[in-house]
Amino acid sequence: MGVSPDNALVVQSDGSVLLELHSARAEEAREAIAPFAGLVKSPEHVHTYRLTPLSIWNARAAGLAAAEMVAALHEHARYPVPENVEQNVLDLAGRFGRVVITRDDGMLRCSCGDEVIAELLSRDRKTSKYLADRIDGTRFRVAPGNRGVLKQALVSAGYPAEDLAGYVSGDALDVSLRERTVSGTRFSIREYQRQAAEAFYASGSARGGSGVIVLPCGAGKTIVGLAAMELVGQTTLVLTTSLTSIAQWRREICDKTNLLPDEIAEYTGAHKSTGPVTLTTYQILTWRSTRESAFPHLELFRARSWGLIIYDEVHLLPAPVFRATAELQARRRLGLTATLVREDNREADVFALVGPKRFDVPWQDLERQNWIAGASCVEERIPMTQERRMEYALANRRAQFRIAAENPAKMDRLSRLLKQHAEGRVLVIGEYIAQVEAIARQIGAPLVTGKTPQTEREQIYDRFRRGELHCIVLSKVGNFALDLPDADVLIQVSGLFGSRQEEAQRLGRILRPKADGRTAHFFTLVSRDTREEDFAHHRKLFLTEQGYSYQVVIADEP
Amino acid sequence: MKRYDPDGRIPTLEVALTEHMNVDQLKKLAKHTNQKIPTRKADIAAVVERYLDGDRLKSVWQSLDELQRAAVAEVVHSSSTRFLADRFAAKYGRSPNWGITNKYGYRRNPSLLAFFFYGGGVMPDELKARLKTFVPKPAAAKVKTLAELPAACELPWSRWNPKTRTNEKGTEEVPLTVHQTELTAQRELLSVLRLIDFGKVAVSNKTRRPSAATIKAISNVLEGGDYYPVLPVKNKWHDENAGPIRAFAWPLIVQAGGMAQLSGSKLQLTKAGRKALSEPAAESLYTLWSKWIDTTVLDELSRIECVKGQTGKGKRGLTALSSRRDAIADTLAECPTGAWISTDEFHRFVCASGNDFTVSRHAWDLYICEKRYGSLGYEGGEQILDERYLLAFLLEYVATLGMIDVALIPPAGARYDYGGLWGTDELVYFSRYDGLRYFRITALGAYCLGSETGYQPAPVETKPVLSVLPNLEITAIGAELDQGDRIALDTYATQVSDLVWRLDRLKLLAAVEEGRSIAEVHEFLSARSSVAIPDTVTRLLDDVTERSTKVQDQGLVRLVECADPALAALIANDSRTRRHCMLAGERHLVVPASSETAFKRTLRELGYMVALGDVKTAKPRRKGSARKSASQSVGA
Repeated sequence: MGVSPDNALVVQSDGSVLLELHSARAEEAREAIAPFAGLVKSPEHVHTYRLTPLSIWNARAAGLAAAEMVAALHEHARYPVPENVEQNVLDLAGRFGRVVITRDDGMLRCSCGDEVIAELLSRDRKTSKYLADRIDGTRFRVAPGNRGVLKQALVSAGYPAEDLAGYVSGDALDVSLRERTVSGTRFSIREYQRQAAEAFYASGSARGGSGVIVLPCGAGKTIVGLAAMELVGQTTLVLTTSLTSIAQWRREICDKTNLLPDEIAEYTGAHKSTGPVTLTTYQILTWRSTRESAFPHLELFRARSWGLIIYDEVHLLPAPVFRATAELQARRRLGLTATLVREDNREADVFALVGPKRFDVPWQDLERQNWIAGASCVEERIPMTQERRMEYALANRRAQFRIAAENPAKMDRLSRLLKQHAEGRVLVIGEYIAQVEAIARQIGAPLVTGKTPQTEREQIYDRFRRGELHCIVLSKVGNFALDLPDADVLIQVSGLFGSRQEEAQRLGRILRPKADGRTAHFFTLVSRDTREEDFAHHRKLFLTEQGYSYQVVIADEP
Repeated sequence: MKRYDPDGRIPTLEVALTEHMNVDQLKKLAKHTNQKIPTRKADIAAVVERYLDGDRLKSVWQSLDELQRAAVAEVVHSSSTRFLADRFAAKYGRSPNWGITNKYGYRRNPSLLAFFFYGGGVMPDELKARLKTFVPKPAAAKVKTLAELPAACELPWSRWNPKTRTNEKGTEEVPLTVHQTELTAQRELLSVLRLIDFGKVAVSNKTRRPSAATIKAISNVLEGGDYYPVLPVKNKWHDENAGPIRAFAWPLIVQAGGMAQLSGSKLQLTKAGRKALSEPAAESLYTLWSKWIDTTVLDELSRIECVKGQTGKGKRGLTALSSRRDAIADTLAECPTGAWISTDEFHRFVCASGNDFTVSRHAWDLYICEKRYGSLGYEGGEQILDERYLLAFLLEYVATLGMIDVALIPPAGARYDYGGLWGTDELVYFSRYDGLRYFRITALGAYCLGSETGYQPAPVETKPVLSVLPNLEITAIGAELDQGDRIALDTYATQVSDLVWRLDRLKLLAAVEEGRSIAEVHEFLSARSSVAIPDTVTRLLDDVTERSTKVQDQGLVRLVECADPALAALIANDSRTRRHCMLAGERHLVVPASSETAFKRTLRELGYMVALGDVKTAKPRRKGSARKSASQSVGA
C-alpha cells in the first residue's frame, strides 16, 4: 500500500494513531476508529488516539470484530499501517471472548476457547486459584463469589472474560422520566443520553448491564444515570463523590423522575438510611475507625437487593470500593465519568469490575451541538514584588509553592477580572483556606469551604442559582459535583500543584450550556517565574490536549 | 644547423626552410611550385620563398581545402605558433590533410599545408603576421547538446558461447537514473551542517576523510540516499557497489570551504558554518565551490583507487590540482545552461576549447596492479586517467554542490575503454564514476561558474510538513519529513513517537547553550508548520529566550576565605581592594581571574596576602572516579 495523502490517520509503530482534523476524511476516520482506540489527547489540529488492550477489548465487548478494526485502520491510514500494530490488534482482539463466564446451576462456569488457554490459565499464578475445580479440558467451575476477582485476574493474564453469567434481579422500582419537570419546564432526554443508556442496558441481555459511559463534564451524566434507572426499573444505589453531589442527584431525581422524595434515601455521615434509591458517597463507604479495622459501611452493598449500582465519577473509585465491587458482579453496574484515565492507572480494574466502556462522545461534538458551552482559557502570570521574590528564593521548595500561590498581587488582578466580568456569574477557587478567606473578605463574596455546613452551602448555591449572588469564593470543595449551571467565569487563584484532574474538574464547573450561548471563561492566576508557573504549565498542557484554546498573558510589574 | 629556441618558435620563413627542413623535404615541398627545382638547398628554399612572396601567399592559402584553412586559422589566431593536432582533431573531428605517407607513416609527400608549418607543426612568426591580415578567425569550439535525454544507454556486451564456440556480441539497454541536484544540494548542505553541529561527523585528522560511521550517518541525511544504492555483494572478488560518493564528498567540501573544522576527531561548525545555517544555501554553495577549486585537502584522483603510485613516485608527476579544476571549470562555464551534455562530448570539448589538462606529467609512474606491466604511460593510459579524473570531479564535487544534474547508469560495465590496459581483467569498473553518462548545468551551476552574474535562489522548498500543536507537540504528518528537518527537530525537541516530537524547556535551553537561537527555532517551525504557531508554543519560546539571558557567565573567579567576617568586610570595602573583589557570604570573597594580580598587589598594600589554604575539592561522584582538580577556581 502506498501513501494516501487524503487520508486522515497516521498509525505509528507504538500503537498511537494521529488524526489530522483538517483532512477531508477526518470525521469519517474518527468515527471509524473511536470504537476501538482510546482518545488520549485532542488538541487543535491533530488528535491522538491509542490502541491499547483495554480499548480493543472494549470494542470487542461492544461486538466489533478484529477484522473490522484492521480494515478501518487500513482504509483511513495515510501511510502503510505498521505490521506490528496490525498484528497486535489482531492478537489482542482475538483474546477477547476466548474465555466466557456463564451461569451453571447456582455456580459459574468458565469456558476457555481451547485446551491450551485452559492449561495456560490453570497454571497462571493469578487465575489458577480461582480455576481449581476443572470440569473437563476446557471448562472450570467457579464460585459465584469469585466472579469479580477472576475477571480481574483474567484481564491481568491477557484473556479478558466475556461475562455472560447475567445478573440477579433487585427489588422492582417503578421509575420513569417525566416529560415536564417538577419545576414546570419541558424535559426530554437528549439523543446521546438515550443512546448511552441503551448501550449500557443492551435490552436487558447478559451482554449489557455493566459498563462505563464516558461523557464530558456538563454533558448530563446524571440524566444518563436516571435513564438507566428507568430501563432497569429496580432499586438503585448511587455512589458519588460528595454531599453536594448527593444533593444534586436528589434534586435531579425529584425534578425529572416520578420518584417521590421519601423514596430517595441518603446514606451519609448525618443520615444512614436506605431506600429504593439510596445515595451515598465514596468517603462514607471507605470510612473506618482505624487503619487496621474493616470498612463497616461497605455493608450497604448488601443492605438491599440492589438491581443497579451507579458509580458516579468512576475514575475516582477508591480501592476498597473496588474490592466490594468485585463481590457484586451479579448486580448491574453503571460507571459514569468524563475520563477513563485514572491517576492511579487502575483502568483495567474499572474494565474488569465495573465493565467495559459502552458509550462515549467527544466534547467537540457536544460543543458543536451546543450541549456544552465553549470555553476560553487564560493563564495570567502575575509578577511578585521584590520582597516576596526574596522570600520565595529563601524558602524551601515546598514552601515556595505556597508563597507563589498566595502572591498578594493576585488580588489586584482578581479585582480587575471581577470588574471585567461584572455581568458574569463568577466562581473563585483557591487551594489555601487563608487565601480564599482573604479574597472573600476583600471582595465581599460568600465563602464555601470544607467547614461550611452543608445546609449553609446549599443556601449559598441556591442564591447563586437564583441570581442573587454574582460571585462565590470556594476552596477545593468546589472541584467536584458542583452543579451551578449558570456559572460562566471561573478564576482559580491557586491549585493543587500539577493535578490535571483538578484542572479538568474545575473547568467542568462552567461548561454547562448557557441559555444565551455565551462562552465560558477560565482564568488561572499564577505567580511569574515561580514553581507555580511550572505546575500551571502541566495543567495547561492537559487542557490544551483536551482541545481548549489557551492564552498566556503576562501582567505588568507591580 | 638548427638554432636553439627555448620557445620552439621560428622567426622567419627563410629560417624555417633552411634550418628546419632537409633537402629531401624541401624538394618535395618545392614540387608544388611547378618550377624547376634547383639542387642546392639554398636555391630550393629561395624557390619556395618566392612562391610564397607577396600576394602569392594568399593564393596559396586559397588553394587549401577547408580543413587545411581551419588548421592555418587556428594557429594564426592563437597565441602560439604551434599547431596542436589533438586539440584540432577534438574540435573538427579529424586532422587536416598533411600529405600522403607510406604505410608506416614515413616518406611523406606533403600537401600544400606544409607551406605554412615547419619543424613539427610550427608556423614562422613572419608568416603568421602576414597571414593574419587576411585569414579569418576560426569559429569557436562548440559543445554538442542533446535535445532530449535518452531514457537508457545502449551498452555493448560480448560473451563466449561454449555451445556454438563463438563470441557473441550485442547491446543491452541500461536505464538512466537522473539526479536533479540544485535544490537537493541546498537542503543537503543544511542537513550536513546540522549533523556536524550535532557532533555526528568524525573525520580522520590526517586525511580529513570521513569515517565509515560518518559516511553512514551522512548517507542517511542525503535525499534519496547516495547516488547508488548498496547492492548485495555477490562475492568478495566481485563487488559492484560504487560506495559512497556524496556522503564522502560533503565533509571534505565543508572543511575545504571553512565551514567546519576538526576538533578532536569530530568536525565542529566554524563561525562561517554557523552563519551558513541561517543564510540562503545557494550563497554557501557558491562559497564552497570557489574554495574547492583551490583546495588541496583532497586530490580527486585519489578516489580512483585502482590507479596505484599516487602516493609514491607517481605523486611527483601529478599536475597542480587547481590547474586541472580550473580547466574543467572554464570549460563548464562555456557550456550552455540547462542542456544535457554527454560526458564523452564534454571531454572532447575540454580539449577542443583549449582547456585541456593532464593529470600527470609522467603517467609512467602511475599504474594498475604492477608498476612495469600496468603502467599508465602506455598508449591510451593517460587519456583514461584524464577522463576518469574529469568524471570524478564532476560527479563527486560539481554535482554534489548542485551545479550539475546528472544522469547515471551503474558503474559496473558502464565503460570498457580500459580493457586493453594490463591488469584490469578483474576490475568491475575502472572508477566508481564510470556510470556518469550525461549532465546538465543548473542555474546554480551557471552562477557558481560565472556564466550568470546573479542567481535568484529558488526558495528552498519548505513544505508544510509539521503541525505545531498547542500542547507543545509537533507532529510530522503533512508529508514525508526530510532528514535535515528530522535532525533539527531532534535538536530542539524530544521525539515521543515515530512522527511526534515534544518541545520542552530543558531541551530548548540545552540547544541555546549549544549556540542555537530561539529565533532560529521559531523560524524553523513557522516555515514548516501547516498551522499558525499556537500561543502556548510562542510563550514557551519567549520564556526560554528570556530565561536564557538572565544568568550570565562572567568568567572564572578565585574564591578567597578570610579568617573572620570583619576582615572580609574590610577587604571588600577598602578603596584599594574593593574594585577587584566581591563579598560572597560572610567570610568569603570572590576575585575575578582577570583581577587576581591586582587584587594580590592591593591586598599586600592593605597588609595581607593570600595564603594557600586547604583546597576544597568536589566530592568524587562515584567510587574510583578521578578526583576533581584541586583548584579553588569556580565559575561565576
